[in-house]
Amino acid sequence: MKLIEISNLIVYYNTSQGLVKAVDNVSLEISRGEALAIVGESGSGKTTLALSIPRLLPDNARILGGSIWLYPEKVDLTKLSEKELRRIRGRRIGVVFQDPMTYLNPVMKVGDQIAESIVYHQNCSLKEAKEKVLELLKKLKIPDAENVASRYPHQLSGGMKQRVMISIAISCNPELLIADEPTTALDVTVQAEVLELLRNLIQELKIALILVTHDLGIVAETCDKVAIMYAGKIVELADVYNLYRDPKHPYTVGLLDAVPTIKESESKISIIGGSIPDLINPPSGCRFHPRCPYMFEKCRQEEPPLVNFDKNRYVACWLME
Amino acid sequence: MEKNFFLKVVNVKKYFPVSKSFLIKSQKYVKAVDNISFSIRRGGTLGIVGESGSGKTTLARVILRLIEPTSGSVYFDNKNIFDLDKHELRKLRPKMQMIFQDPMASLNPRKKVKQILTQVFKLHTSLSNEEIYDRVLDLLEKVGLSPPELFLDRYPHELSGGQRQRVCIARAIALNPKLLIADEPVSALDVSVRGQIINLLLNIYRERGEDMIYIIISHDIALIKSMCKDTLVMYSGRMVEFGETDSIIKSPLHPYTRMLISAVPIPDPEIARTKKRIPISGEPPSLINPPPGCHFHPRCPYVMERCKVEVPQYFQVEDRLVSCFLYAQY
Amino acid sequence: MSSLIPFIIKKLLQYIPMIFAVIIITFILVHMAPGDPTFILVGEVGDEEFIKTARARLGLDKPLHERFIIYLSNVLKGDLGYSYLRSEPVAKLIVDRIPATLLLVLTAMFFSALIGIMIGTIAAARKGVLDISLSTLSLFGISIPYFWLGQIILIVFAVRLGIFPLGGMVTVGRSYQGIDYVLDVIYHLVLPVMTLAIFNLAYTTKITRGSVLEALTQDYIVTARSKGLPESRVIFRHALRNALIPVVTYIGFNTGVLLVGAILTETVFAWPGMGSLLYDSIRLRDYPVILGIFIYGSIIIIIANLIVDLLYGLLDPRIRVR
Ligand SMILES: Nc1ncnc2c1ncn2[C@@H]1O[C@H](COP(=O)(O)OP(=O)(O)O)[C@@H](O)[C@H]1O
Ligand SMILES: Nc1ncnc2c1ncn2[C@@H]1O[C@H](COP(=O)(O)OP(=O)(O)O)[C@@H](O)[C@H]1O
Ligand code: SF4
Ligand SMILES: [Mg+2]
Ligand SMILES: [Mg+2]
Repeated sequence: MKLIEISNLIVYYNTSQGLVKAVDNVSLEISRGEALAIVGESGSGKTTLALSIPRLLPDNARILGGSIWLYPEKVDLTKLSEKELRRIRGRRIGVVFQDPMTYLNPVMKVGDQIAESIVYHQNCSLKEAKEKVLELLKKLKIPDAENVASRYPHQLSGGMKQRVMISIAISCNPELLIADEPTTALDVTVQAEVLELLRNLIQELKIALILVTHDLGIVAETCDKVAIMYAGKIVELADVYNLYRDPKHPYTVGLLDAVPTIKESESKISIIGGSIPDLINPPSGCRFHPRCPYMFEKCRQEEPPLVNFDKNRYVACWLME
Repeated sequence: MEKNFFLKVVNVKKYFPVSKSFLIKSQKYVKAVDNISFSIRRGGTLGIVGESGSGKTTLARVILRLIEPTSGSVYFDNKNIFDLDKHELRKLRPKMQMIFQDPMASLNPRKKVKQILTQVFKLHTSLSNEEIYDRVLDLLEKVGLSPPELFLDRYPHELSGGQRQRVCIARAIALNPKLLIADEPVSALDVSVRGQIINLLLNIYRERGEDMIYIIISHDIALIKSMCKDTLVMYSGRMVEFGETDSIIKSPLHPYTRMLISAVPIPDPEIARTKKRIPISGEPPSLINPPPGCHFHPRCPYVMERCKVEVPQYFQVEDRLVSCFLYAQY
Repeated sequence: MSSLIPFIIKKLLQYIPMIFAVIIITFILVHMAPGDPTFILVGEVGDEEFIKTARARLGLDKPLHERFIIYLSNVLKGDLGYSYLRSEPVAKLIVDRIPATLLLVLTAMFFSALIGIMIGTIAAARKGVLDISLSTLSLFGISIPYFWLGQIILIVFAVRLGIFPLGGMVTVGRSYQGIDYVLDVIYHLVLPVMTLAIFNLAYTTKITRGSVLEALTQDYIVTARSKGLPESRVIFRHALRNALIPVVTYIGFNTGVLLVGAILTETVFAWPGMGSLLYDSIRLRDYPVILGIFIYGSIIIIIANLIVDLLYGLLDPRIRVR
């Protein structure tokens, strides 16, 4: 069952140096119960793409084209008023941000921060909301829930803060959970715990997950579908098994080989030269062409479309022609 | 330098006093490095792995005596580094170099690349200006900043993160050090740039590693697997396991190492979804108030009564050292 | 909060050197100013002998450093000396006047903080015309001198319109009791408070606006919006709550400026507080009273700072004393 359909979305940032083409003509779909990963290096536009769904972008962001349909009623989120959006944010779409230290209000008890959205969306009293908070914290296997709820963010460990963030996001049983690099600020063992928690939640609550990350490792464990982003574009979109078994786009291949793993067979890493382009003046044609080992003339001049290559598989590369 | 030099670290401790207020001098300490011993020979590569705050950076700084130790000794070039006076230490400096996590912070923002690299030679050699210039060009070429002329006159802020780290590496290898410690050399970099820097470090090792001791510090055991033959696992200021990297990854012995390895995500959905997971609980303890006995005991699935009161010593299991009472019978 | 008392004691200890500095500096300044109190007492052309005995009686015949040591040891004993002119203990003179000044200053502080924070927040939340006009207005308020403003207000509201009294704290010749007395005082309080509050209000507005704008760029605001909260709650509960920390600091540290403003305001409106006492004492070179007022003034400022420190802990759990 389709939940979100993004079509030809264009989001630019207004800056004094010019327009930053952070998301340029991107289309995506996500269904209920599905976990989609948006993967790419920093600056490729992942956060911009993900946060344009609940329209939580910075003030200088402009949605210049395309639409974001929310099903089943098929409303275009890019056209809604702030007031209408408020009934969707927190209630139907929850967000977990990267750094729980800065994304939690430092002067408010975490229990109150969770209760807040419950009070607003479920029409209940503060007292009832607080009881629900305790239930929620217990569901997230947080020991000593009463105690945690009455603390301020700085009194909690990183992993605990991220669990609080997650409970804020899921407090009203949303249909979509957006997690933007939810474990990047955490240590490996804590990351494993938080991911386990996320996996269990989406199974149990049957919600759709959009996981934004630069780490292909955690994607392999957690997601069903993967969108690889490069310089504001989706360059490959595939089912998780196919993507790892047989990556098609040269950037995907490079990305998979660029990080060392503890897999027994692996030890050699290959590299992608160069670095991410400036998004104010992105390269012509295929935006990856200056770094691509297979680049030929056409890549420099024409932009490759994202074409359906075989079932559930889309690649934007002239090699696929 | 002796032909078969080695680095030997013996019972090294570094405690930072915690000052609670300006009136009361407290007797509490952050035991950032608590009694660590190991040794590596010439040509050896050692990875130090542990989560943030486990004391890796402090250990590296103490070994190079960039900060003063609380106690212990470090033998390098047949000398106890902790006994050297200022002058002797300065003479040894070119032989021991460090690469830091944040290249921006370790480069002087007001100096051009040329000046940064020239300075190293001026300080420690008696080469002529032309010779130095040639060396600098060579170095830049070697760390992949080519053509070198393009980079000579740039300031650090005019370089990308990867390029800055290359300059740091150039500076560190300029005088052919015998001991090179890289502290999280790629953590601050983007994924694709990370691969480039890892490859550069590997190439340097391939070229002159036989005459060097290489220490890589990282929170990422996969990185260490790609670069180091031996691994030291740190937890809460202590060493919990030491041995060959491959065998540690294949069969970790210490319960913490097991948890750590099981937690590392593997970029392969087939393996990732079928591998046996070790249940993980809790988080690393505070170093000011660590639990008594084995620091890992509150999170350990095998905890015994003894673990809660006694600090486990090192038990030798085949070629490995493990600090855990599960191995007490060996 | 059982460790609150050591915290307060520690803070007070830190202030002791400041009080000493205040005593020394004012002592020197006061005694270096031209003019001699004896002339004011006995007239410029008095009998030589008479002037001499007067000076001896006031202790003015001794060298400056000796006078200072005597004064300091008296202050440490809690004795601020006698007024030259009113032959009353300085302490009593001042303590009698403190309530009137505090009433004026605290009322002005309360209203300027309340209204300033409200206007500042609204200006920050509503960008555009409203913000620009409020900001301009507050800039205007910051640049008007008290003395001038006081007189304008006096002329407009008391002289021309006649809706408020010309000065004083109570209507002369009536002895109101109970609620009538309170209402009479309030009636007299309006204009001086207005005069004193405007600068503070304008400044609080400016600081609040800046602080709220800054808070609105923080990450936790995005989280608050992601919950679908109404904008008013995002602003008041999340942004303003964090923004208040610097605002409260400003309000507390501004107590000194407010006290100075009170001197001028009290003079204009003949308000019977410490300010008009100080004004008279300076005019008549009543050294002990001037010094006494400075010491009391600094103690008031210190108490204000202490309150700020405590409020700070209340507003920001990260530095709360435990
Ligand atoms: N508020 C902003 N103003 C201007 N440019 C921005 C802003 N936010 C992000 N960008 C730019 O947009 C691009 C995409 O950013 P982002 O979506 O954050 O990427 P990612 O999440 O993949 O790291 C980057 O080039 C970044 O510098
Ligand atoms: N200069 C210092 N003063 C006090 N504590 C310190 C200092 N440097 C490090 N520490 C503490 O020592 C512990 C270990 O830190 P560090 O060696 O940086 O760990 P790692 O590199 O493994 O992340 C941490 O708890 C840290 O807060
Ligand atoms: S010593 Fe005990 S607590 Fe520590 S790791 Fe071994 S079994 Fe676990
Ligand atoms: Mg991002
Ligand atoms: Mg470190």
